[in-house]
Amino acid sequence: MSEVTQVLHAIEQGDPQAASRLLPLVYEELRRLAAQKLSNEKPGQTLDATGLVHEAYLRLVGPGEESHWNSRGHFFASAAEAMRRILINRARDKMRHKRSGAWKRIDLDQLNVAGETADEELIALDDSLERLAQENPACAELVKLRFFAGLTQHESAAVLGLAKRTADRTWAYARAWLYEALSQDDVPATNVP
Amino acid sequence: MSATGGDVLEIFGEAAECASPVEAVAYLDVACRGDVALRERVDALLHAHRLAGKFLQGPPAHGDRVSTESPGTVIGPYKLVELIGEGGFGVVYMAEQQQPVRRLVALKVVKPGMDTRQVIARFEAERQALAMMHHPNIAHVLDAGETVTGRPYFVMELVRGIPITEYCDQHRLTPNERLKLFASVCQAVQHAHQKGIIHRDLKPSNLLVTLHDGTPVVKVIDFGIAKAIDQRLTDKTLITGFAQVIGTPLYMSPEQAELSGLDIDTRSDIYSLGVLLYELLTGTTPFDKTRLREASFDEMRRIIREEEPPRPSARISTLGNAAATVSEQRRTDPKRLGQLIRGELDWVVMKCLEKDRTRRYESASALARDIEHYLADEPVEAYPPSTGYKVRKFVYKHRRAALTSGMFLGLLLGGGTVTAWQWLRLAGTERDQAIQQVHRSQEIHSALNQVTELRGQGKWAEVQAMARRAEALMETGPVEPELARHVNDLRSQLDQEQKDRQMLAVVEDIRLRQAEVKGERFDTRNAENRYTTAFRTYGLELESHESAVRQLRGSAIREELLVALDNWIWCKEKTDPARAKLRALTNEADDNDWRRALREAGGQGDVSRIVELTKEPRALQQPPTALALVGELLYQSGRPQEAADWLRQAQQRHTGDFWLNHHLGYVLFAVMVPPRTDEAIGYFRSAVALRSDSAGVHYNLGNALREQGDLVAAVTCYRNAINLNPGYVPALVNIGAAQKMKGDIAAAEATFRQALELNPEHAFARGNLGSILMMQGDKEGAAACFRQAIALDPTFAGAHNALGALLESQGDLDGAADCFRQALEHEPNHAQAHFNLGVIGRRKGNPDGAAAHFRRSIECNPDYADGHHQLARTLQSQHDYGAAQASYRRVLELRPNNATIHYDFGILLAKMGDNPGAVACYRKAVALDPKYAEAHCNLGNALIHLGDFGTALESLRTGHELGSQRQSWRYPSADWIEECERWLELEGRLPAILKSKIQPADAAERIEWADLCRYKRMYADSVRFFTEAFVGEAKLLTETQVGHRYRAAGSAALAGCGQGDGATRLDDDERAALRRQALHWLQADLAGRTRRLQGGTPKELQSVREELRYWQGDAALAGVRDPAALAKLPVEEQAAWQQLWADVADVLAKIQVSK
Repeated sequence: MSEVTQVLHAIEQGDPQAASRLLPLVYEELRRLAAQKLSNEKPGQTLDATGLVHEAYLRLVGPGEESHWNSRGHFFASAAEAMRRILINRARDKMRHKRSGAWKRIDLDQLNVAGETADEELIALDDSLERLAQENPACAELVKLRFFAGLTQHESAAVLGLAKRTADRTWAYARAWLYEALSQDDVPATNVP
Repeated sequence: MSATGGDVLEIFGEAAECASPVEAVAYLDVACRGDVALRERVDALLHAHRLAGKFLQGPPAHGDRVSTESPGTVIGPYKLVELIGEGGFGVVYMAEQQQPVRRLVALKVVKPGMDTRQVIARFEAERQALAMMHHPNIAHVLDAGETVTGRPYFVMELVRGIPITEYCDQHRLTPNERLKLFASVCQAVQHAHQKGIIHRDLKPSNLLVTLHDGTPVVKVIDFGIAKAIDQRLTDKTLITGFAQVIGTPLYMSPEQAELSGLDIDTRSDIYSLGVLLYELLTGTTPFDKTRLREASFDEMRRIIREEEPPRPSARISTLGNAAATVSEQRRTDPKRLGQLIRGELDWVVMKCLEKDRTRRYESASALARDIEHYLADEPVEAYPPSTGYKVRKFVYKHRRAALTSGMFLGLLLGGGTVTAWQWLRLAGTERDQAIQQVHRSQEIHSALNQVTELRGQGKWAEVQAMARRAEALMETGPVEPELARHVNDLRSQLDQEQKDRQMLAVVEDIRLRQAEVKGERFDTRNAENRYTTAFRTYGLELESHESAVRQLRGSAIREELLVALDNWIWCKEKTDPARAKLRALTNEADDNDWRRALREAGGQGDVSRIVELTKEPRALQQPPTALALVGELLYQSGRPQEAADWLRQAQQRHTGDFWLNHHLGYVLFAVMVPPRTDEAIGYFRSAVALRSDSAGVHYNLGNALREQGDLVAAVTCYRNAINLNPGYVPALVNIGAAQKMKGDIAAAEATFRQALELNPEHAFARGNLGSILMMQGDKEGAAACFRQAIALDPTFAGAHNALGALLESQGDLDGAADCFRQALEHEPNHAQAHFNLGVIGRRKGNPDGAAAHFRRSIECNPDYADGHHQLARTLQSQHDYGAAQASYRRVLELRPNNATIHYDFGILLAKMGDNPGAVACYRKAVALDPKYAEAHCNLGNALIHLGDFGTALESLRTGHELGSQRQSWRYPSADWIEECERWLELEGRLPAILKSKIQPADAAERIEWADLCRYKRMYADSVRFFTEAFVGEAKLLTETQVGHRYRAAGSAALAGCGQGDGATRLDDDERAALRRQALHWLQADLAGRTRRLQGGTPKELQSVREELRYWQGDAALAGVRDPAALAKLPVEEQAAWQQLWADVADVLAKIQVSK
């Protein structure tokens, strides 16, 4: 039984310490997988979050555990948070790199992947997501699962233990909320007046 | 009751699920029960909900895009016409340029799939180097950019010519005419070498002759591109790259045939030039084409490295029947051609073809000079083969010794032997002994003769072996006393020679090791100590002044020793009393006035006198090591510009000197502000090629390459440095940084920890370990490392900056700002810290402060594109459009091929009412990135304003098609298309509308007609329809936010100022009436806005402000606003308009105050 499986079992048993042990394990595995993926790809390549999370799941938990839906839920909640951190860190690092010249002799940054706009948008999204989390944590959780871990609405609802209708409403609300928040300081794509 | 999140979600959810908008409104009226804030919030969210499209419903980034080129493809402003060449990594097309001039060019682009980061970085570095070359004999690089998929391309002058050899034969050029053309090739190559660029593939097909006004002009093409694309021939690429290596073995230098790519320098090009000259003279290459082609790969390399080709004149005599053709093509006959070449031209060619590159011409210009000497009937620098330049110089210095041993040539034939008479008188044993003695003497003579010959060739080990053999022979029995004396003399001469040579090697080694970095500085301490030992070992007693001066004056290597002493003085601490003493001694032993004056000026720290001395014509005649020393003196005295100028001149004289190349690179990269990295790389590369065993120069090259973005090459350099010096912590740290950049975090962490084991107090390593921890999510650990790094080196601005970035990411904006300020305290010109403060300012809602910081960041680094870009955006958000425009222009200079910036700039111009300008920007953006959906949409919307609905619709459709595929698309592009289709349809009905054949359904449709006419530049008609609409429905006039009246005023002003189609049909009175109407509408509009200000929300104030700013810049109103235009109007009208604009300014000022 893998370490992650052990932790998941411990969570099932109600061990209050277990949940905090899960995130570092999942994070480390995802980060490693992401780095490996990126190093083999051409510049401009993106991370396939869904693929990564599922691959990490198979590696850390194994296919035999599929039926334990609760375990999966805990796992994916951690994975969503880990993916968010990875992507945001990468985006921030890249932005820092773009600001460039921080170290006279040594660079601190990642190079590769995607365009400027994507990074800025991602960071702006994450900033807004943090504010949404303060107002409505469930909304933010749902966004993390769907957007960062690439889970379907159905899977996400199951992870969060939400009924379908509630989940759909929550999703619609979160999307509208974030869209509205991001549009505030947005550059419009239409002309004035 | 205030709106809590739960309420909002609940009500939003219900409303969003309502079957129709009417139902939703009814529901909201009840649910919000007069709570205005709640209702506003839910309305805003519902609006967002409707617009959100596929927002957030896909993965968080763009996808990958791949495409290939073919004839017909458009890359930037170029349209590919046909493929004209293809290599392993790149393809060359003939392409047609449309703007700004129509012409054909050559466009070289990296093949898809070959665009590894490595290749791209090299390509880019090389392009920058190439762009610096401006020479009539080098094909210019005209432009460069990136394809849509990010692959770089060069655009070069399209040279339509034929290979130089073919040209010469076709036109039957005489040898002298050929030499003149050849000299121009040398000058071009020299120009490149001065820029640190090595061609590496000089051959006739890269040297094309075109006719300019009937005069043949050679153009060197493909300069350095071979290098950019295939720099190093490693074992791995040997197989795949075989065809390329094989391609031109005829012109390949022995060191290139070695395939150890590192060791190639400018002198490889000299070799290739030699082959070319050989071919121009004899019609054949030094090695036979067929033989090289048929030889195995290793055999081919062996031939190039080991075989001596026949001299050109000798080759002529073995050409057989072909000799007649070859001579005929040179307008001469075989006999005369052979005579012409024999001697000087033979020597010049063979000097180029020396296997040992130190014996070749030192520079292409030296070769050109010799050609010119020859053409002017002056003696050439080249000597007959077998006595290379350096060897000869050494022999000259040891002339006495050389002559002495040379005497033995005659000894055997002259008096030293027994006569026949004596011979007959000897008997038995005596005769045997005499025979033995003669044999012995003969063998000694032969050994001594070989010593002479080997010395001439500089083969010192063999010289020693042969001298020892002579000595051993003497031990075996008696020889003539004179011969014995010669052998003994030779021994002491050789000993001295060897001591001199050893001393030269030691002195050179000291200078080499000095390039290593101890901490952040050159290791002068070590050099200091080693000089002491070296001079003692050499036997120079510096303590006794007079004998030392005498010894120096008598030394065969005096110049070198003096330069070494100068360097030693340079290394000594300024406070060392021995310094002045040593300087006095050196000065006394030196006869060169210039050096004496320089030493004096150096001693007194008189920098301006030093600069003055460097300006003297004789200054540059000093030996290269002295030139390098002066360069160092200049930049360490705070004169980087002078140092760079000086070193440039020096390097031009001695392109093959290690130190000059290194120092020039160093000054350009590490001393000058801002650094000239691209140039520096060229010089560092030359330095590495010249002496690949200096860890320091590998390190510096690595840093420069890293700065240039070529991480892979940089790491190779750092590894080379560490292989040479395993304890080299800075190189280790930089490898770690590179590993980190590649995402190999574990390896990077190990490397940094290894570096910290070697030196626990290495602040850079500590700081980088911190950044690794930060990436692993250990922010506390990271913060600890940054703080330790700061403790180790409180002036470490980068660590302060990194700590700030960390705090910023934790949301501690104040703490972060403190750190950035700290960074600036230690490095006031830390552009990034200024930039970061700007970002914080903006995040904290202080755009004024942010703008100031962005301004500072670009003051520190004028080429800081991000600084300019963010400044532009900040200014734009503050509605300071004029300044924003200037900033955008600067960003576009720095990043002309960034679609996003063109796009942003387009938005600004559109905001300023400059629709033609906006259209140009959007067009550029979509040309650079054809998949840029937003830009297509904005292009469409801007084109509507220009009345080009057909093109607009196309753009909008493209934009919508691309955008709606994206999950994050959140613009109502479908509505825009519909709107545009409506315009197109209306446009079809325009003739009928104008002839009043049809009537509008209502006032709203009439407004549409008014706008249609406005877009079609029929301003008088536009005014007519607006007026009719307003008459029909007065309500339209009160809706100031919709802006009907403002647009109507714009049309009236334009028509009134004679703009637009059909304006000539209006008489002066009609125009004046239109202007009055415009004024009236604007006055009414302004009054409406002023009313809105009273008790208006901040948002309302903001929008009024933005609108009035727009008035002030609107191109439509220029004719009634700009002073020059106003001056043309009747006086009383002028006053009325001036009053209006004063009122506008007044209202704006009030908004500023109330803010």
